[in-house]
Amino acid sequence: MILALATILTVVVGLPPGDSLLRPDLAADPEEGPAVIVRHRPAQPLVAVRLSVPARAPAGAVSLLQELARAPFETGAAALGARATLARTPTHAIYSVVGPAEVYPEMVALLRRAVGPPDLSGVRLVPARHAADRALAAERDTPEPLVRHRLRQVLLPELPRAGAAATLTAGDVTRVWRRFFIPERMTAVVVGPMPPEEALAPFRGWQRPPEPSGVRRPPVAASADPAPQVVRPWIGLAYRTRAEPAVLAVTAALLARHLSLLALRSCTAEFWWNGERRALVIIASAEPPAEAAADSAAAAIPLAERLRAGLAEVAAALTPASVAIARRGLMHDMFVAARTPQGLAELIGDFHDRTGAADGAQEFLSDLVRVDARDVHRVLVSLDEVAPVVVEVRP
Amino acid sequence: MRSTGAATAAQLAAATALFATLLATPARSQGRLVILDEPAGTAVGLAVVINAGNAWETAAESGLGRLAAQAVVERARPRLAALGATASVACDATTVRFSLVLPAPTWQSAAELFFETLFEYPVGADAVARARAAVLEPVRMEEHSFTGDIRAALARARFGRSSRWARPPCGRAETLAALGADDVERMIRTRFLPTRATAAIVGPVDTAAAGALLRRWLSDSDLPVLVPAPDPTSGGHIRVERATVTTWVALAFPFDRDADIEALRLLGFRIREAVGPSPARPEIFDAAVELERHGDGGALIVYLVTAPDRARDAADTVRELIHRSAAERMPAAEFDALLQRYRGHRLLALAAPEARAMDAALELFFDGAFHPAAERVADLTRSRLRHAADALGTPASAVLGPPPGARGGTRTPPGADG
Repeated sequence: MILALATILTVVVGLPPGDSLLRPDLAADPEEGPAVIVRHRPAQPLVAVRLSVPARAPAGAVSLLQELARAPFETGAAALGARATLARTPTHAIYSVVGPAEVYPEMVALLRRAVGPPDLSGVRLVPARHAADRALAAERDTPEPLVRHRLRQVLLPELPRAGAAATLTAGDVTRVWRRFFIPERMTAVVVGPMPPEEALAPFRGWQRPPEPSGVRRPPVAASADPAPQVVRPWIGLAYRTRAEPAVLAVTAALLARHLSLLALRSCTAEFWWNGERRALVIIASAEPPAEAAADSAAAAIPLAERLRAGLAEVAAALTPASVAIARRGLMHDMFVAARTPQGLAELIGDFHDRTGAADGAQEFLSDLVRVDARDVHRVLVSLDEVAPVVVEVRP
Repeated sequence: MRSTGAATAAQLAAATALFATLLATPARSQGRLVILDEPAGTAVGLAVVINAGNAWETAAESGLGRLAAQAVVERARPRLAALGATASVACDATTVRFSLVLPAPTWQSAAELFFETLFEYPVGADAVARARAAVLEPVRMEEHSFTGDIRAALARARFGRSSRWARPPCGRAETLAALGADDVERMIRTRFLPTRATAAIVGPVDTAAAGALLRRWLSDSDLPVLVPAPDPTSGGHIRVERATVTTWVALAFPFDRDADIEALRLLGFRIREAVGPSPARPEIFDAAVELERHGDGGALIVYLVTAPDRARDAADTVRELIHRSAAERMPAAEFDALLQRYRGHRLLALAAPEARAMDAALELFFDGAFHPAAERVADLTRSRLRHAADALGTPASAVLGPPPGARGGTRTPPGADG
């Protein structure tokens, strides 16, 4: 009877072959309640649950909703011998809990309360506003996160402005909750030892919140970028691309390795991926100008130029072997990250949030296996032909 | 949501039966090796515990085992990295411990490579130099930290100033800097031997292949690993004066060879909950509980960082809690809630395969047998907790802080104990 409430799209039971280590065993989309993706891991009596809520609301409002839920979520989990964590991506609010499998229903009940109606009593709202704004400021009060933040504003303009929590009223918070915290739009990833069908049961029958009253959107209060202390120049370069994510991942890995040889103070190459929007992003910092001038002739070349030259240099040095090494490194990193229930839940959930596919992580892994030097070369050449988005933070 | 395949009732029934079987037949081992096949995992944990801690070292070679182990890791590191594997080393008075994380597709090659490096090939001077660089920095930091000072003071209170058991477990910077590649090779040849080791592999492995691999490199005999034990000592007390604004308190409650280790872990968890930092205890800044083992038992060690004027009260709270735990059984409901939290704490600590592998290898090393942690925890009772607390001896203790009545001062040279 209960099972009938769920529309079981997929059930794959049994031990995975070597090429499906990240593939879920079951993906279900109940009529009432979050979609549920289950990976059966029978050997450990530990279960991890990651619930993601697509919330394209101002980060201040989402952050405030999470802070309002934090204390009961964390203390409730601790009483069960479990651990609760809250996180936020530009597109989703993430609620995670990991603990003994025997208290799985209680853990899901905690999640349900955490994304349920917020407690807006003054005693909670005031400190939660402060905590939310502190968390938002922490994302921009050092140079590197600030570079990321500014790049994100340019690359993903569809995302709402961050906003601030300080001026949000109880009414604003309620409207955001009613609009975005709809169970049918949420996705839970469960990794644990219980049979997949048992994992579904606690997610059934979650009620929708009432419709938001009125049409007023929550105000996006001005939240000026903090002024971080900057002692050396930072730069971010972002190349928009439509290349396949797996190819971009290998390209970023090769580029990161190459740029690490430039003797910069710090340098990362990574790929950003939100649905169809993708970018290869380089973030670096160099010595302050006075020290750099004395250091070497190479340092006299502007940092942006040195980083841009990296694309051509990697393309010129590309070999099937170097691509294979980068590809294997990424695969191994995924296997190692997925070795704990919470790590695997995070991996499956994160790929699902980006792709909408329950087996997005496994598909990415399968695509990764097929990436070769020609794919990477094509991407590097195409990126070298376009002007990147550049963001600088100077002392 | 996208489709990922189809299922049959037979497959479902088979998987359910397999799950039931796995739960009903927990792994056990009596030898020196444990293999836990955990299907559906993505990485393998490998742990090797060697009887080669600083309890075996002379003063002039203090830290040699740690340095040698790091040299093994440095020698293997580039080739392990190519296989996506990582290795790390830890040490104490009685053990040198290797912990490896191996991706599922490459675990066998990586494990073979590690054992070859450990048991077959010289590590070479380059690896020793890299190892020295890796080991020296943290040792120097420990030697110049209050954490290192309180640990050293407690060790002297427990074993006496001249005992090798009182030396820092990872050696001294002075000796580490002087030890050469020849010393390291000698240590590896004479101490890093299969007969002195226990090992465990945990993860999605073929049990037969894992067994064959371990038996090829390690002894699976039932001969005990002879773990060294210190001379019997009684609880002493050392006070160290430093220009600190907080006071460090350390208490080591000794237990003997037959102690109930899992019950002692539960007691340690109870103590940490009762005296750890919380809004209700603003005078406590940090707390840690460790279980240290050697061949004749070990000690339950409690560290507290407190406001200076509350240090004595904090230590008394710990003593009183242990006394109360020994004198009376906890109320059933209170114990059930404690056990629930402890079960989660243990399972979370063992969430990664390398943690479960190390837990298994250490159990074999000290107890000569292995039972899965979930089973050990499930068997805990109120009586066992009481008996474990009752079996603890008089604690040795150390205190590090400002002189009584002082608010700061100059740093006293190490060793100028009160």
